[in-house]
Amino acid sequence: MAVLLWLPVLVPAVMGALITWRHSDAFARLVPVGVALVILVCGIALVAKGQVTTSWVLRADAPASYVLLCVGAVAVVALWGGLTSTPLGGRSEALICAFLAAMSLAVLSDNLGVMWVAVEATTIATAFLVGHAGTRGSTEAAWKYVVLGSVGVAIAFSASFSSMRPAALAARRHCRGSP
Amino acid sequence: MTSSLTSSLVTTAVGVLLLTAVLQTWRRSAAGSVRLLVVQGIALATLVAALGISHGDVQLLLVAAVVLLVKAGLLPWALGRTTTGRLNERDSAAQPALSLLGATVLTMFAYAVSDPLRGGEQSATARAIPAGVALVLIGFWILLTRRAAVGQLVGFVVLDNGIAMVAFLTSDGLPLTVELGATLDVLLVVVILRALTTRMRTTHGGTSVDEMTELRD
Repeated sequence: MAVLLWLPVLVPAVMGALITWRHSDAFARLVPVGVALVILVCGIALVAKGQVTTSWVLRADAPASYVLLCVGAVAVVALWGGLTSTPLGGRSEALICAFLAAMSLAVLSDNLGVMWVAVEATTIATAFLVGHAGTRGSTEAAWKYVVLGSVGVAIAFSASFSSMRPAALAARRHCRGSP
Repeated sequence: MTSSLTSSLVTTAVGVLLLTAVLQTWRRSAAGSVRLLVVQGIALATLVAALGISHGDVQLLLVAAVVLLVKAGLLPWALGRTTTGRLNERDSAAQPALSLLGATVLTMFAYAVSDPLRGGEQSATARAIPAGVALVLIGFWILLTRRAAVGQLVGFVVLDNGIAMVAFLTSDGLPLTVELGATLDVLLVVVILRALTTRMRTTHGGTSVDEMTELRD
């Protein structure tokens, strides 16, 4: 059931691209909710299936399935609640879709490097959403969010390759044939 | 012959990287900081290229080209680009002597603590790892001490250069896709922060981080 792994990543990405390409207000408003529903349904299906699913660089085990379910549930509730507010004007909905795609990829990726890139992508996608209002407070919030978020993620990057270091050293010693 | 050439290339590149990072703490003008970043980017690309030659790895040479393009070209260009065409911000709160002292202490600290990362190796690349850790710490130091927005961005880029350097030295280069993703992510972050700086100038009337006091407990 590799399709359950690819749908949460590809559907938001494709729909986000569609919105930027051509958007009517009604379409742009409903797409993020629909995308979130797709993620939620895939999360439920993966949890119900209850076994490890892999496909190329994607992999879902039990915790990943539950986290994907949580991402879908939170996104559906938040975006459904946002339907009544004023329209955001196309670009923001596309950013929401990009954020959901990156979030699903971060949860489902089977590679520390890809996961790191996806987590950083969530920061980038949401940066303009935080500063959307354009007021003093929102600009300040966006600045602090991006600086703190990206510095934190940069440290996570150094941690993720430092954790591979002992294995790399051992492999090198093995190659040289010394103990 | 080739190995001695590449190891001296590695040592030179690492020296330039550390020197430019220390000079960053001393420079106060934003334009000067950006010029130093260009030199640092070139040194980082040289380091990656030297590693690629010594391992005979074509992929690493490709990564070196990407690093050169992004870290010595696009990143400083994005940082230095302004609406007026000339970057003439100065960090009035910076204290060069104190910053230099801090950078010295952090470098010594980095050499003292990075033994576990070296794993007891004595090669030229392993000996360069503490310099990478020093770059990370100095980047943090610049982030902490600068008050101007561009100055903080410079700190972030130095921090990231340090992390990239440690990554190249410890793991003999990451997979090409990950390295590309990481480099482009950093570029995007810098572009976004640069856009936010422009907006900050219109909403706050300046780019000093001290002005941002609205969000407090």
